[in-house]
Amino acid sequence: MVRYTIQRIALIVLTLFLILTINFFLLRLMPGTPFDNPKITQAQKELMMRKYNLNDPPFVQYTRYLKGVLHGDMGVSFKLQDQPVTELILSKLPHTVKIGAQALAFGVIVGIIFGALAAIYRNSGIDHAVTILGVLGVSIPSFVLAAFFQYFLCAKLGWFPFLYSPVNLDKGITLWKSFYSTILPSFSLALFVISSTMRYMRSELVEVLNSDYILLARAKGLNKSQVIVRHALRNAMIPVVTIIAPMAIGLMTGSLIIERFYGVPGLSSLMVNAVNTNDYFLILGVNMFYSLLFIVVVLIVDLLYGIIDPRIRLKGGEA
Amino acid sequence: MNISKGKFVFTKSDTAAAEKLSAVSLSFWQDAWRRLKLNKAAMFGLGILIIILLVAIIAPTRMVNQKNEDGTVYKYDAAPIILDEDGVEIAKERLAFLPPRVPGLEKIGIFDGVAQIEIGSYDLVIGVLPKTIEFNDLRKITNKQALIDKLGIPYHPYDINFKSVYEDENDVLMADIIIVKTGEEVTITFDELSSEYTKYQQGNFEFVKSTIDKYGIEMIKIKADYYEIKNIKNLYFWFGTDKLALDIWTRVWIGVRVSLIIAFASLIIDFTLGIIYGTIAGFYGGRMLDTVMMRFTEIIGSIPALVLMIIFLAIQDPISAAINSISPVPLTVPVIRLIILILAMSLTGWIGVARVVRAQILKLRDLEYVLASRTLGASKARLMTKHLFPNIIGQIVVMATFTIPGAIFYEAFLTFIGLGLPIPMASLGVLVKDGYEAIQTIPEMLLIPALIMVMLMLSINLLANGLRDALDPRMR
Amino acid sequence: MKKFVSLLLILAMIFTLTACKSEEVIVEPSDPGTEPTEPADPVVEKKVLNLIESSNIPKLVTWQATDSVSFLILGNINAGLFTLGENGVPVLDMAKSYEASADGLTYTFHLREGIQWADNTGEAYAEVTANDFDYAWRKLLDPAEAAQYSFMLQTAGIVNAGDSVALSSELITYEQTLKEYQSLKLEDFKEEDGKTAQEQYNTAKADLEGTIADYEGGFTETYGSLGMAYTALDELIANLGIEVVDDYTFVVHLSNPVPYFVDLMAFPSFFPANEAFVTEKGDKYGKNVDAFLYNGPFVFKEWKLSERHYLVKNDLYWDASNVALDEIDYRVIEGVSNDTVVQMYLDGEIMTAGLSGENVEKYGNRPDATPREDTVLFYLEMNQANGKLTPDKVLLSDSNVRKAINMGLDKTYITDVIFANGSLPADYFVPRGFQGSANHENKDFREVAEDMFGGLEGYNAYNPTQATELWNAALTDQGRDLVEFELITYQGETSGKVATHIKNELEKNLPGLTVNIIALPFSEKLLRSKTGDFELNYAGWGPDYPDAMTWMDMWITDGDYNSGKYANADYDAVIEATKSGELTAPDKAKDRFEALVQLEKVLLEDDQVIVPLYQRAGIALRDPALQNWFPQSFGPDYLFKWVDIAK
Repeated sequence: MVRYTIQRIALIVLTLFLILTINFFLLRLMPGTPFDNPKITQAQKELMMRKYNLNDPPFVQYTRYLKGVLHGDMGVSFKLQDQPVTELILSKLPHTVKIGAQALAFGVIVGIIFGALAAIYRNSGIDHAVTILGVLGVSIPSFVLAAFFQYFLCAKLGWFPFLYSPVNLDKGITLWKSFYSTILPSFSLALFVISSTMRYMRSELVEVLNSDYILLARAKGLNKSQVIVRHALRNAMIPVVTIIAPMAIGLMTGSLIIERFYGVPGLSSLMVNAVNTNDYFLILGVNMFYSLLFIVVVLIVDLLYGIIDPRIRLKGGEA
Repeated sequence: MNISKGKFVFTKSDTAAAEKLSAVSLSFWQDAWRRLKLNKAAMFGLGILIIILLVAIIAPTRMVNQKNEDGTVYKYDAAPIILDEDGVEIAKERLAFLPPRVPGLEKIGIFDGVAQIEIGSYDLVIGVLPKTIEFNDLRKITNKQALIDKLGIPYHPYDINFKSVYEDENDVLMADIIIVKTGEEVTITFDELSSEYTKYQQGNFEFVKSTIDKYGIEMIKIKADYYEIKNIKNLYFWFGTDKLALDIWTRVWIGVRVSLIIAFASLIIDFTLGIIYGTIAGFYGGRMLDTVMMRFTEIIGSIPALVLMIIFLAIQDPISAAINSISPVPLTVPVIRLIILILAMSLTGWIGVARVVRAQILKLRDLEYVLASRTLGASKARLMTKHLFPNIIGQIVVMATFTIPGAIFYEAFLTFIGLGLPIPMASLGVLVKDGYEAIQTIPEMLLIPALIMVMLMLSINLLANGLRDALDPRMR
Repeated sequence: MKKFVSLLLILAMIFTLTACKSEEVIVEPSDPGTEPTEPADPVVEKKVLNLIESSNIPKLVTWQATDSVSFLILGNINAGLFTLGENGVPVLDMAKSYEASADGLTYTFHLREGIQWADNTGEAYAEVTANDFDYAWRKLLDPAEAAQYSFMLQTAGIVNAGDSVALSSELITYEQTLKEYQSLKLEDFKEEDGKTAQEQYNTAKADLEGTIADYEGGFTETYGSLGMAYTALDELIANLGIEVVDDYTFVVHLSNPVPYFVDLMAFPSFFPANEAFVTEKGDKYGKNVDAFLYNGPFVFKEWKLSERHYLVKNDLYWDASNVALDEIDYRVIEGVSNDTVVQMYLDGEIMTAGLSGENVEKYGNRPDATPREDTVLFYLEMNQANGKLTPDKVLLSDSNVRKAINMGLDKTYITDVIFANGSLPADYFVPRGFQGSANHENKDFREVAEDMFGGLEGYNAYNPTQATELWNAALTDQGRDLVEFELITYQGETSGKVATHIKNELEKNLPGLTVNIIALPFSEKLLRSKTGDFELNYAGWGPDYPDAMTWMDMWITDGDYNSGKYANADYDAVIEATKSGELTAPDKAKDRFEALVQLEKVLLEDDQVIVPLYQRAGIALRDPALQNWFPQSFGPDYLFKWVDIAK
């Protein structure tokens, strides 16, 4: 197990290195330069390229960048005051994480509760309602939901603010007010999480409830609620945990439109702006961050599978 | 009792008959279909899907809606050309930005070409002044008196607030107004109150309420009959028109087509690539080849789709040359843009499929029957194609149906960033985005495409659920 | 089922409870924690201007800034020799007086004495002297800074500025060509159009060799040798026509009279900077609010990326007693939607909100809506000769075809239906209200055009019938029947709509034409317009300085912005004369102005080089309490020095 983990971590480093390399050269295929603007002259652009050493042969630039990365320097943004890329990412990350974490926590908790209820009261009204909700949830795109919320709950009813507001005590934006402004964006994202968790939880719990050891527990005289709480729920929830991680990534990377609608100064807006302005190092930085997240999560999921389900032996790699 | 031996005949032990099935033999697919038919939700989904598909096929090509002057159907990218009673072409402006109106339904108060809007009192009373230097000057807030003198109206809209506008017993449109300065209440005919330039007249609007905001400025909520206002009462745009006078009914169904084409095309590419890749990787699971192949997917998956899209747009010319060289018919630029979009989406889209297929194969390949076949000397290719692949086809079909909504969402996402389809092509994503911008005035512009999108997703998801159950061998 | 319903009820209750609670918190008086800091005796309430910004600041350094957001902030935290007042009139700022010589070639500025630079906390750092101007202006030419706005020195006509910018540009182009020549490889060529790779390689090589020889010849002729050219450049930069006489006297020498020189002094590129501080901060200069010095009306207090720009009054500003605002608080939301902005205004969170899309129709006629005139003009460029010569470009090189395009396009639809915000349909190129002529009874450029050529509204107005005739005739002439044009535009909501309208109109009025709209990312569009990979190009132009020249000199042969490759030697000659030739003399001002009016007629009526579309305008809601809000058409969009909030 330990050896396997070490092997995988070594592979991660190698993979990240390859990702960095490929993306570095791929970005050079993008048309134009970071300094394009309708009024810049050719000579001016050349001067800018020289200033930022973008005129060197690609390989020279690559080794320079790589050296920087090894020293923890991800380069600077050309478009935002030459700020270091790491600082930019760190300044945007909390907002993205806040919205994403709330959506995830809310979605998973509600999803587990509803999913469990549906499994326990199988073929009852709850079960059907949950099934319908589950299908609806994956059928409504988050941006459509966000648009409806803004139209009905913000514009028509005025219950919620249009915009996300970060905490700012001078302007009277308290922690609570700030939290209140995150409800709609979080919920728009959470619907998908709720439905997926719910469907997954339901099918897992149904399987567990039909298993022999639950039958045994019942036969030994434990009452139904005890069995469900002590034995079934726990065992059904373990596999659910494994789908949380990929969903977390989805929330972090796929929230662009929600960020736009609610004015959240988050990572995906940073990325899109960077792409639109050829801000190479910023694109690379955010992309590396996403890739790292993705790979680490895949690793964790693989390891969790092994821990949770002893039947899956690790010799075969991930399940 | 003597019974002749001859009366006894040995029955033949007919082993074949014993084995004969009393029920009709069903293939895997027949059985799945039989069980799918029993699933009400799935059949409901299938029904909706078929209806949407049929309408999408028929609506933009057949004359179910109105037609241009020359008898052709409205196009999704050109404003309708319609003549009025005098045979003069109706200006594009009059056809632009109309709420939905459907014959029949309009009688019951929906799709009746009326929108509830909020306007300033100036719009209600004065309207759009001619763009002459004289009027430009009169418009200034310091020339209030001069303006009303010129227009021959008693009050400047900024000096009054509306209490209500109603038709009295003689069917004359009256207005109850309050003069802000004095607080005095006045009742006056609307005709007298309003200038000749306002588009609001008796019969084309209905006063709802007036609100005064924190700046002390009045905003009036009215129900405006757009078709009456624009004097095109004989026309029906079922889903309305947009700012460019394009018929949304046509655009919605073209949009459904385009969205589905994108979904199916990326589906085919993703699955062909994903299945081949996943089967190979899974078959060699745990070995070097598998590790390399899986790390490769991580690397490809790390390439931002936006960057790819931009690069693809930049090398559009060579791509279109390549596509045209293999295509039997010359393709138009918008079609090539569509293909580029699909290619960019697919470059990373197959990875998910490959991963699932690989996991399935990993599970199956150690089962006894595979071992048996292997022991009997089956080649690797035979193992993959005859033993492993057919057993995962159920999961693949299910995954495929789940992938379609994903592709449609993804296209919408690209559209929101501005990198999606070529303008003015329509897709559900494009329509939702356009609708989002018009939501305050004509909410139907968002509601209709969003609803159709949700219906489409819902039907596909329901069908996918049904298929999953029908194809699951454990449920037989 | 029952249980499920009750569960839903509980959830609903939780939701309503939270909703109620929030309202309670919202109506609560201010945070108790902040109360004790307020002084006990009642003081005048602070005047805070709340605004919204939809972009981040790219560069907070005067010589590196190139965009409106940076200029807006810089214009309010720093001060130059002049600032702009109502109607864009230049007003003395850091200069207390100035003299211009009779020939208009020397300007002497006398600075205010004892004015201090403030740091982020409002403490004095050092005095603002003439050296600070000298230092910052020279930074514009410093090759290490690669300042894009170095051309402003050239525009101002400062001695040696134009020459050094031109020479530096030539040297760079020469170096680039040399590099290209050195990296030329046979393998990069493929057989094409019946030419072998070797042949193409040879042609390319010969071309480059020719260019290099031309450059080297030119350098040798003018400067003696290539090396001397570099020395000459250094000398030109060192001998820039600015001079520090003493701490409070700053002299500028011009190579030719520039009528709008004083206006330029209000542009942020001409603002001062303290050398000692810049050197001390090094790389960090201008990257955060502590690493910057303030001599303008406001100090940049807090700068949170994508969240907040917070400015407070600078008590060390020379005119601080006349600055009414205490704070300016920008909420920064990137790409915020207009509905949201308007809602924030209606809720009183911000004091002004621009209107776009549907909101123009909805709120555009409220008493608190104020139109804003603008001098940005959008147009279609037509490719006549750029890039590979295709039959379509041959067609477009026929001026009648270009006229047909202009006449076959209803521009009022764009301004009245798509925008409906006061934008004007344009058949002209020099915008209305852009420049008046003192020698024509202060008439506007357009009015002078009316007097001379009847060109008030421009030339070749909308006329679909004539457009169809011209088009059909040209097609018959060239033996074409089906034509396909690529129209390149930026990605974006409005440009997409305008392009769709153009496509619709042209396809309707010009039979046989198909227009393909290609919306492209910014860089890619610029690249395509440079390389000529387009037939029609949707573009916009905003003036760099308040003179019609900024519009007319775009179209000289091989000009940087002339991507359609229009070429007319006569046109070039008049530009030369009006730009730096005989017509620049102060006593020729009238002739010069008329020459420019005539150039516009050549550009639009005779040659129809471009199809003007519309002159942009805007409408904004503005709190009636805001006073002295003067939008500027040049430099920073607003100068908050003048603004007051009535109580």
